[in-house]
Amino acid sequence: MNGILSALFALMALSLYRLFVGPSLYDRLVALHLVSAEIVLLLCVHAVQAGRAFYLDVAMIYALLSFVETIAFARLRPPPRGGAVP
Amino acid sequence: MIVGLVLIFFGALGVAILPDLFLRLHASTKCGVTGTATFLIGLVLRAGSPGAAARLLLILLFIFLTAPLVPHVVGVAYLKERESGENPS
Repeated sequence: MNGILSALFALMALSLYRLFVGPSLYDRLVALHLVSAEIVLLLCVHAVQAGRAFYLDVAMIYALLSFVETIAFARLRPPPRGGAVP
Repeated sequence: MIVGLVLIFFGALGVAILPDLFLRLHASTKCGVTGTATFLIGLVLRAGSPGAAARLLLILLFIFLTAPLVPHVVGVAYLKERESGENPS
């Protein structure tokens, strides 16, 4: 279990690299979605490992919020420079 | 769980090293969804109580419903911005 946790942290670092480097907003959105999926998995692993079920509720709400967050960023993107709001 | 971990590893690797946005979307979607699902199924098998297993299954269902939607919306937004003549920043 601990090995799985540390492997998930390593994967999160890999995705965070793209989140920081990514040239455009959309690259960052994709990386953000992947990072939030990994956070959900991390919470689930910790809940099963520690035997505390309320972390699963936290993971559920986090999955919901990450979905809404990514959709909102993609739909309500900032207007191009010097242009009107599309 | 290990299989899911390997799948997510390929997804994260693809997102980190692939050169184009659409290739990254491809890697993130497929590996992310299948990897997360496999991982959660493994966790359901190891969950102690039926309540925890039911919540894990609920999370699995939710991720299955919403995860393929996000890269679609991101791709459509990217295409719209590219078609509107602006150089996507």
